[in-house]
Amino acid sequence: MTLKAAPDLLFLLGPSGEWIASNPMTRTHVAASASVLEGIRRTADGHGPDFVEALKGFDEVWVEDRTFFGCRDCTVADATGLELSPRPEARVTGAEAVATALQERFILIDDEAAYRKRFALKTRLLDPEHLGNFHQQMGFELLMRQHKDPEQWWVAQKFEEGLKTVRDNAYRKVQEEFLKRDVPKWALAGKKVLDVGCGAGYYSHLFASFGAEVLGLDQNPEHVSTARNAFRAEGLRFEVFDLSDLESLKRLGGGPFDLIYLSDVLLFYFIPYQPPSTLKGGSHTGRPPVSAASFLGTLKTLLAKGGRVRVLEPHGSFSLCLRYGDPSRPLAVLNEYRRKWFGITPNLQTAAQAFREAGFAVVDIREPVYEGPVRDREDAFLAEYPIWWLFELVPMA
Amino acid sequence: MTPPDVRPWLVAWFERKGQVAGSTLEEKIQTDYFAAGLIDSLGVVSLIADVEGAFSIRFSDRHYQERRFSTIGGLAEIVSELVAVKPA
Ligand SMILES: C[S@@+](CC[C@H](N)C(=O)[O-])C[C@H]1O[C@@H](n2cnc3c(N)ncnc32)[C@H](O)[C@@H]1O
Repeated sequence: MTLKAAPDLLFLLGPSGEWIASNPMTRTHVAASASVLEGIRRTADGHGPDFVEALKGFDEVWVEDRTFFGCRDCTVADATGLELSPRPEARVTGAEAVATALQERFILIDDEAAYRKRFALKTRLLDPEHLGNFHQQMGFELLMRQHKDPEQWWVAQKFEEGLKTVRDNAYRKVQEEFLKRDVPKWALAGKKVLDVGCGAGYYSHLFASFGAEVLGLDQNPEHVSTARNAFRAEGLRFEVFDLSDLESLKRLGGGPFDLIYLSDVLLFYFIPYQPPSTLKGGSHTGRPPVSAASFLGTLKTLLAKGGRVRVLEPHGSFSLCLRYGDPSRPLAVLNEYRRKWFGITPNLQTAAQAFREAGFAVVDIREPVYEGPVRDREDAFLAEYPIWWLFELVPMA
Repeated sequence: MTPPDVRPWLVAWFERKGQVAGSTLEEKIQTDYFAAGLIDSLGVVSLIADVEGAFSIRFSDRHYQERRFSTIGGLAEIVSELVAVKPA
């Protein structure tokens, strides 16, 4: 079996002056001795010497795994999973062990066609052949490594205990801060708002605090009871509701609504259907989702005259994109756009097509960024690149 | 202490979840428990916790990458290997 360099490698200089070989497709990274880089170069085309052979004569041969699941603490963290600090405990030495470690991290591969086939959805939770999309990798991280229930974890990674505030991560720095700046301009007093896929109800409550009458819907009974316990306000209600049941949605009472709001929900209508057994977390009713266009088209029938829809979704380019470069001026690196297998968001054209098919015109697009003081690498990234975008839609005449 | 024999322990665990096809132990351990719908993804979490507890072992990412992990027999092999290398 001849090992050769994976075709997608990037080589970076780490902060301690160490080399890092990074595979942006698999999001796997290793720090390596210069000899290992030379070995990779000599075996680059698969026709040179065997990798272990190529390392003969070098004294210092080591690699240090620098890979982790980037979103282990929060879904909107840096998904690159590149550990920049040294990890001496992960160091492996000697040509044979190094070759194995490099193969496990897809820096060296033995079969390019098989390697390419890995970039696909998992067919079940434990599917070693396919790397799976973000939700599947997230599910794997939570279930297999952290032994946590993804639904409960989801609330805990976004909100502080008791849902008093949003945790101090990108959810607060970008999403909540943007809404706090913008919602006062939405003139919600006395208006009827439908918060679709409201989760734990935090933003439903925000809308109610501006004087709106708000109905929050979510399929997950746990989220709905969390919301009911945490938020009590005049005109604020929460109901368990499966939104992909369009027939029932059409008959929803309480409307018509002046604002229909969706945040981090519409994406689930673009993702290829995955049977619930392949993961648990967020989006599963067990029913194949309906198309985004027919879902939005049904919501349109619930709008009051002059009403509008606001959709705040993970950004089609920058959510989950890789982050490299200087901490004060990070690079956003795209490794997919049109045919996503890891990413979970529609690109601009796909989103626009769904809006049009549903009979909506886009009257505004916003790309919120972090506007506070830049203290670290994440702040710098969020200040430059929007990881959400917001579409404001009105029914076409 | 000798650990309980892994295969019957696992078969009994899965039989508490549902019907495991086959009449003999040999047949039963061929079962792919995901494909057979014996457990869902949250079920895997309790499977791992129960197995790790009963045999005082720890699975790693490397084990989850193994094809063997999905069948009762394959899982039994992995568990037995881990039990064998465990320091006394
Ligand atoms: C990522 S969370 C966002 C929650 C909330 N909008 C927020 O921004 O905090 C997605 C929510 O959509 C809900 N959801 C997804 N598909 C749904 C469906 N078909 N019917 C009802 N709720 C659904 C999930 O239960 C989950 O609470």
